[in-house]
Amino acid sequence: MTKPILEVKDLSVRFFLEKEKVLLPALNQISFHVNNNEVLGIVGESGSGKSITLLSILGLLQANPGIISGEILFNANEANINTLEDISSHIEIENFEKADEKITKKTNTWNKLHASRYKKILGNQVSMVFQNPRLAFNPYYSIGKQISESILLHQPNTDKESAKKTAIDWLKRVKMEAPELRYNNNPYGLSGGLCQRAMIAMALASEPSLLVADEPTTGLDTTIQGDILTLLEEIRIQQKLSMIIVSHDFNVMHRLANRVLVYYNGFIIEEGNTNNILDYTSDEHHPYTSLLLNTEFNQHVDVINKTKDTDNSQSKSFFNQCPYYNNCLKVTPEISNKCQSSIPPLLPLHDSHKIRCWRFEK
Amino acid sequence: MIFRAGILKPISKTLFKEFFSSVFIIILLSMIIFFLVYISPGESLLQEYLLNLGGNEEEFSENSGPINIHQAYFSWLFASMSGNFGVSNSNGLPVLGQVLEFTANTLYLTFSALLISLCITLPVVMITVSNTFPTLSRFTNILIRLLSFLPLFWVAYILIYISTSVFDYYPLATDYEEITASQFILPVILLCLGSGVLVEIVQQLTYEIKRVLNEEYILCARAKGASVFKHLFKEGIAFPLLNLLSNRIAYLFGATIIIEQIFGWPGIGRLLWQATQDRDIPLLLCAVIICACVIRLSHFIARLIYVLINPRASHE
Repeated sequence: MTKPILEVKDLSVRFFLEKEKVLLPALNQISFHVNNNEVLGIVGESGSGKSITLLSILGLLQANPGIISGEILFNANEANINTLEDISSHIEIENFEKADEKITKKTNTWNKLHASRYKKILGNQVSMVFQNPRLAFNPYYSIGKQISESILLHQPNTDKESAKKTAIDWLKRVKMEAPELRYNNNPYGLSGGLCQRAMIAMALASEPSLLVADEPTTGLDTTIQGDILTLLEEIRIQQKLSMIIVSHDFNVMHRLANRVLVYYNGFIIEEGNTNNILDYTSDEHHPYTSLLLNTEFNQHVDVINKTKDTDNSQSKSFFNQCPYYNNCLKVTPEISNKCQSSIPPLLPLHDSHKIRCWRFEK
Repeated sequence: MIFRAGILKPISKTLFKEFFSSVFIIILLSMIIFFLVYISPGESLLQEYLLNLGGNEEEFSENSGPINIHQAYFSWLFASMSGNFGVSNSNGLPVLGQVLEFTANTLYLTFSALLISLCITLPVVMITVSNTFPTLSRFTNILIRLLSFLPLFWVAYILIYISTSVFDYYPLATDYEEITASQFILPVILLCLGSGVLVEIVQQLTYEIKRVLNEEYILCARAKGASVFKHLFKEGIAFPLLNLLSNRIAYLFGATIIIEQIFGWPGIGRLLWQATQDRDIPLLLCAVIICACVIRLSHFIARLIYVLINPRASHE
């Protein structure tokens, strides 16, 4: 069996709040892998840590994370790079009183290390499609220039002319009509859908083996969403790409993903094949996933009825109770104690379907 | 809107617009300054000047009574448009040549001051933004703020005192024909320290760079492994700098008058001052108009560069 193209082991990200002197957990022990030629979907509500996962995979986390630890392993092209090796030790906070100074000092060394490690990876192994393509393109350069820039950066033997040709070719492949004219277009002169196509062209132009897409269809209207999804599907098959696709839309998962992770509050709460996860008739789901599925597929179900007495002072008990406990409707008296006192592990159900809920403990 | 408009079109449009607004402003200014000269006492001086410019003797002779302001203004305007500003009352030389020479001297000062302030501020901004040496950047920021708030003339006299008593060197320009480099240094340094240029560049540029660094396209540039500086440059550095510099040139033109007075520097500020003192009407009128032209020209060039590097300018 071949190695997975990307392996993430025990990734934890904690943000340091300077005023409150608190470490705010953003991701907790996230582990997953992406196999060759596979599409991994990540679903979850906003704020559940989807984007942070992507940003930490790409090494783009900016806002001084307090701690980032674990392993992010890139295995493509016979490289084997753990981008978080030795990095976590540079940011650990020893003294909370003087923490802000220590963090700045250490993040600088951390940034340097991180940047040098990611030099080989960004573009060559992984590239990203952003949520809002009109903001993600530099408004002061034409899209063609930005595409050929990424070609020139990652294929050092090309000259400007051939880079331009390749860029036009890419624009053709993402089905832009009149690519020669579009080459000179500035991003503000393009519609959202065209911009997203150009964005995909730019991400693929550096020929990565893994494409990461952060809600690629959210900002677009429904007909164009479908076009973009079809395009992504076609290009993935053509280029033999692996993909991570983040969305809050089960429709996207259904069309593209082979496997799906469900996020809640920085935890992976459910993991499995798309068929298993999207099977809304089954009862073998994490309560949060069933809620999501119900809102998506049985819209008559009264979602608002889910309210339960939630106390917002959950931060203290955060580390030792089930992350969904405060909203959970399926707590039975037998397991209630367990839910309150410990975080459930990802419990395997059957063929790679795992759920983080005590109800499924055998 | 689909296809990008040709680059030539916005440029010619800007050229056209800027040129006419400049002409309008300068003509308006000439009216105001001429009116001020007209209402100030000493009518015979104005009459004499207009006669020298080739005005109608019947209109402007001493016997024909009070002069008509329209006629006076237009005869002056037409003469000066052909480059004839007359001769100076005090030394009898053509005014235009003198004014241009003195303007060039002031431009030396202002441009060197701007250049030196850029050389000082850009590294400071880079250190502040990159956050590599937080203590150093805090220290330099405070230092620059302190320096900029010192009163100009006071520092100037102290520096002259230090230079003459400690280094035994007399920094004032005594011989206008030969200005040595060392006579140049003190005025330039004072000009960039004391006029608030440093603080303004540091604050504005730091703010702009930090703002642009948070834009999503910078994140995207990092994601594809491109240079952040390249993508940051236009919006974060070039535009604010152009804006700052073109505004600061006008300000520095005014600020030099103190420096020129203190150091005896043969510049336009000093010339204007003397012309006002001597009631040298030809010199005064010419100097004001040339000053305005230079300032408008610097704005014009800045605007042109902006349109050249910003493809969006044609949509604004």
